[in-house]
Formats: sequence, structure tokens, C-alpha cells
Amino acid sequence: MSPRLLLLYFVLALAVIIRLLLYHPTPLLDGQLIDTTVRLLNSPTVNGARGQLVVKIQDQRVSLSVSRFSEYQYGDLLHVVGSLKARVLDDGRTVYSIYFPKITVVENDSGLPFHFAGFIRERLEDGFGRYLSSDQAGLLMGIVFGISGMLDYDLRSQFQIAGVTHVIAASGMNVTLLAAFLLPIFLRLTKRRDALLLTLICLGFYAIISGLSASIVRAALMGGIGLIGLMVGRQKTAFISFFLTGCIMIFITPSVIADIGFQLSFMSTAGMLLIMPILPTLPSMPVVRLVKEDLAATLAAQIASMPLLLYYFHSLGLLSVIVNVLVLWTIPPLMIIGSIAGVVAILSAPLAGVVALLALPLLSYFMAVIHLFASISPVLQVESVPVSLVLGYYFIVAAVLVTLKKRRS
Amino acid sequence: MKKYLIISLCLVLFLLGFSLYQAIVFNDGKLHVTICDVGQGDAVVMRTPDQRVILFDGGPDKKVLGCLNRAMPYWERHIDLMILSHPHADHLNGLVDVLRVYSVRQFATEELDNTSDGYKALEQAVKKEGLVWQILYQGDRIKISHDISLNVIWPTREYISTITGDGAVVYEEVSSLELLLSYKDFRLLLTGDSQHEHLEEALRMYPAELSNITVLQEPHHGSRTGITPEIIQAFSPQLVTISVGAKNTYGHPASNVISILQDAGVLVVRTDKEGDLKLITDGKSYNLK
Repeated sequence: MSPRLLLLYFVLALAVIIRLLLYHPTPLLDGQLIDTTVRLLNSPTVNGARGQLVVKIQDQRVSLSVSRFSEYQYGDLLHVVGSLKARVLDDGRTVYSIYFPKITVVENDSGLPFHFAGFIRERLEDGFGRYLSSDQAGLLMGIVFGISGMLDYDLRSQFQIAGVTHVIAASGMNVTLLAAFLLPIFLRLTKRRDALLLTLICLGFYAIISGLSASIVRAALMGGIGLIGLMVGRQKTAFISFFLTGCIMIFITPSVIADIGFQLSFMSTAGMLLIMPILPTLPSMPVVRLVKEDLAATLAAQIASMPLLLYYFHSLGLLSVIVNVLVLWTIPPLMIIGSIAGVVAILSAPLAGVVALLALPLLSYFMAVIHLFASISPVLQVESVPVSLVLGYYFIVAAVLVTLKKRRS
Repeated sequence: MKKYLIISLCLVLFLLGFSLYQAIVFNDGKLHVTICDVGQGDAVVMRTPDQRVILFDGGPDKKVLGCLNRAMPYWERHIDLMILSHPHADHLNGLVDVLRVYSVRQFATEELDNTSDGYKALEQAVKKEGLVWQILYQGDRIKISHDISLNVIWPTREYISTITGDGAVVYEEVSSLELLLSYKDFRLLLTGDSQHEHLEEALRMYPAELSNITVLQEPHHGSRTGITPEIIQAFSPQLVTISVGAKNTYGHPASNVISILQDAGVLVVRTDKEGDLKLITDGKSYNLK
């Protein structure tokens, strides 16, 4: 690594640390009366008999319980009044909720990009649901846009046991696949620079449709920085854009560092960038070649995210690597079919339904694998994991990485 | 590019095969009845040989959508008649989700209302679809196809007027629609959350129609007040289905109900053990899947 690059990393890290030290958010208090206006950037979810909205109040995630029949839409500007409840979990995090607050939708103020994104989301849900079952449509929405709100609660827990929740969360994979699909098309139609710019705009719009979650913003930014790098003629260097993205995100909203989605997605990406290249390569047999990359990526991401999964969720499906190898190959075609259906949905929902129908065989297969493994997979359960163990684990992984790298060079 | 073409071709071929398979399985000229596994709740889908679809109750949540998808070919998104047995959440809530996804042509229920969120949401959803809120009473007969009909055997107008009094509903009183589906020799008695007193009264009114029925939907998820040995003796069903959620907090099905059915030597199938229960009949004999 050149001294210049090293200096860059150092300065970035220092900037982030200073930003974090200077960050003193006004804390939310138990029992505090909340009277505020927020934008809804998550689809409402239904858990059993109750609906739930997640909003950000003073930079903190606050869940609002609502009637399961409420019809709030993505992008709505909501006026929320209610008494805040703060609850400290076993792992030390505080979660905030408001039990059935008084909510009014602030009319006609949804802002153009959100309005349009909301319109497309609605069209997509309508289109996907025309011929696909509600579970299949929900899965496709999850895979293409990371919107898991349409999925049944039971099904989501099956995904967790099988170890493929990351597939239905918007992640770097979605953005990378989207860019890889769009760029060649735009390149055929227009000049290189314009093609990159168009792809960049699409990525931004995709991030808005997906609900601007921490991991999708990270991935879109990372992809964006890579694309800008290509535009100004620099070679794309994955790790630096990844690191820069993380720094920018923390710099803008320091609270993101406590977001589980951000941590998981950050660590998995780091794993894929750093651990994947040093994994022993498998012999190049015909069948192995098909799954080699999925296997290596899953293993690397698992190694990097395992302690966090155990720390936050206290359980880990032990067959998740196998499940991932079995289903990951369906993601690129599903992303493509879903994205095309997404564009078609702007014109007509029924037509989007016909396009989405092509995904039916892949979705049925995906679902069958999940059902099977959710019922047979052994699950590692732990009571709690001390922070020191998590940090120690990462220290050991880092030490192994450095040693191996030294030995290779 | 070639790779994409091959993949698309494979997907199209698979889709064609799957569509053909569903077309053959569902259009076999028989009546298909699916007792849905919706956890603790009730939902029954009936699809006639001439492709008319009746949904009796919607269960407590979205699970009914999965059952509808399994009970019909994937391209069919209509329900000719949606019926709510009585306005309780575990029978009602899923209907709101169904109205979002399926085009429903008629809606009917009994003359009881509720103040719950779900009930209001259903009222709104039915109105939004432009449907008439139809009320059923004992004696009403709905002709579904030329040889399939639904007979309403409970409640009577008199009974409803006694429990609603001056128009206000007394919620402690439970009343539920009881419907008899007849297709040639096949007779299915749908009971919702009925109590045995109401079944006994219906039995007094229709002794011939209700003797020797083919399938009985066990009332109220197997609650202990649903049946008596006398009722089972009078109905003498060949099969009893129990719609019940695994490990439910009500202790359904009750042990006295199980022993009544065991003593009568009736075949019993449960949704918590078997999942969806599928009955396919040509009007003479039936298959259970």
C-alpha cells in the first residue's frame, strides 16, 4: 500500500472519530411527549394482529404501533403525537416505541421524488401480485428492492432460520447487480460519460424506492463513488470506495453506526472484499464452478458477520451456507426480471404482472428450499454474547488476515 | 445475450408446463373444497366445476391469501361470493386482505356488527369494491351452479331480533351463519363459530336435509360447547374437519369434543396437524388430500 493511500485512510478515520466525539444528540426520554412531523420511509409491516411503522425521530428509530388495517403509504409525511416508551434490551441497546400514537397524514407535501417512488411502489405491488401469490410477490419485492413489508411474519422468521434474510434486505448485491445490468445497456445507447451518469441517476432513484435504508444508501453511494471514479477516468478500487462510503455515511448521520443493518452490511461487504480473495480456491470441476463464487462470497460474509448475528439475534442457522449456495444463483435473473417489471409498471401494472410471471419458477424453487431448510436446519442458540468476545473475534480475524497477506507477499 | 435467451426460454417453458398442469388439475369437472390452514381461525374455499369460487370466512390474517393461491389456478383472481360467518377477528380480518388482491363479486353475512377496527376496515373495503352488504337468514337459498346450492340454516330473523333487541348488539351472544353446501349426494355443513343449541334448532327445522351429511366443519374450532353426542348421531357425518391453530391459547379442540367424535367413530382431520385439507368430489364420492 502506498504511503499516500495510507495517509488517506488515516485522515478519513480521524475525521470520523472526531465527528463521533463531537456528536451529542438530544436524547429521547422514556415518557417524553412526542409531537413531531416525520416522513415514512418504510412500508408498514404487520406482526400478527398489530401493524407497525418505523420512523426516525431525532435520529433514532422509533416504532409506532398502529392498526393493522391502517393505510399509510411510503413517503407519507406524518404528524405524530404520543408518549414515548424507551426499553433497554439485554445487549444494552435502547429501543423506542410509541403505543398507538395519534397520527395524521400531512396532505400534499410528499415531495416529488417520494411521490413518484411511492407511485411506482404501489404499481409494483399491484403488478407483482396479479399472478404471483402474495408470498411470491413479497419475496420478489424483497429481492429486487429490499422491501420486506409484504412478507408474512412467519415467512420472515423462516428466512432467518435458513440464514438468507440478507437476500430480502436491500444490500450491496442489489446495487451492484443493477449497475452491472444497466451500464452495458446505456453504453450501447449513448456515450460513456452519459451512460455512467444515467446509471448513477438510476441508482439514486432505486435507493429512494427501496426506502433509503442504511445498507442500500451505503451500497448506492459505494456504487456511485465507483461510477464517478470511472467517469473521471480513475480505475475503480473497491475497497477505497467502500471505506469512503462508510466514512461519509457516519459523517453525515453519526447515529447510523448503531444501526444493525448498517453494521451487518458493512461487515459482510468488508468480508467479501478482504476475506474472499484469501479463501482457498476449489478445484475447477464443472458443478463446483457454478457455485464457487456464491460459496466463497457466502463464507466470507458469514465469517465477517457471524458474531454480530449472534450478538443481536442470539441465533444462527447452521446450514445457511448450503442454503445460500442453493438459492443465490436465482438472484441475478430475479433482479433483472424484477427491474424490467419495475420499469414496465410505470406504464401499466397488468403488463408488469405478465413480466413478473417469468419469475414464478425461480420464486417457487426459492420458496421450496427455504421451507425445507427452515424445518430441518439446526439452529445455534445463545443466551447472550459479551461485547469483548465480539471485539476479540474481529481482532483475531484481522490478525489472521494480516499474517496471511504478509506471507503471500 | 445468448445466456439470457436460454434462461428466458427455460423459464417460459417451465411456466407453460406449470400452467398446463394447473389447468388440468383444477378443471377436472369436480367440486374442490379447501379447508384452509390459517392458524387459529377459519377459512374455506370452494371452487365449482364451472369455476365459481366461494370463500367462507377469511381467517385472522394474510395467510388466507396463500390458501386461495393453492386452491385455485394462479391466473384466477376472482371470488364470486364472499361470506362472513360472524364478525369476529379470527374469521374476518383476512377478508380485508382478500378484497385488496381479488376481485370479489358478491358479499354476504349475518345481521350482526362489531366495533372492531377489522370490522370497520371490512365495511370500507366492501364499499370501495362497490359491493352490496347482503344479509342472510335461515331459509335463504343461494344457487351457485345448476346442481350446487348453499342453504342458510341459521340464524333465524327472530333469533337475531331477540339478541339485538332495539337494534343494539349484545356482544356476549354469539351467533354464526350455518350453511349447507349440496352437490348431488355430497353435503358439507359449514358452521363457523356455532353453538350446539343453534345446531339443534336448525336440526329441528331441517331434519331430513341434515341427516347423513358427508362432511361437518366442527363448530368453533372444536370448542367444548360446539357439539353434543346427539348432534353427531343425528348428522352422522362421514368426516369431521377441525380448523384450529397449533398450540392455541384456548385449548381448542376441547377434550370432550374429541371423545364425542371418537365414540361416534368418525374420521377426524385437523388443520393444525395436516395443513390445508383438500376435498375433491364428483357429487357422489369424495377424496381427501
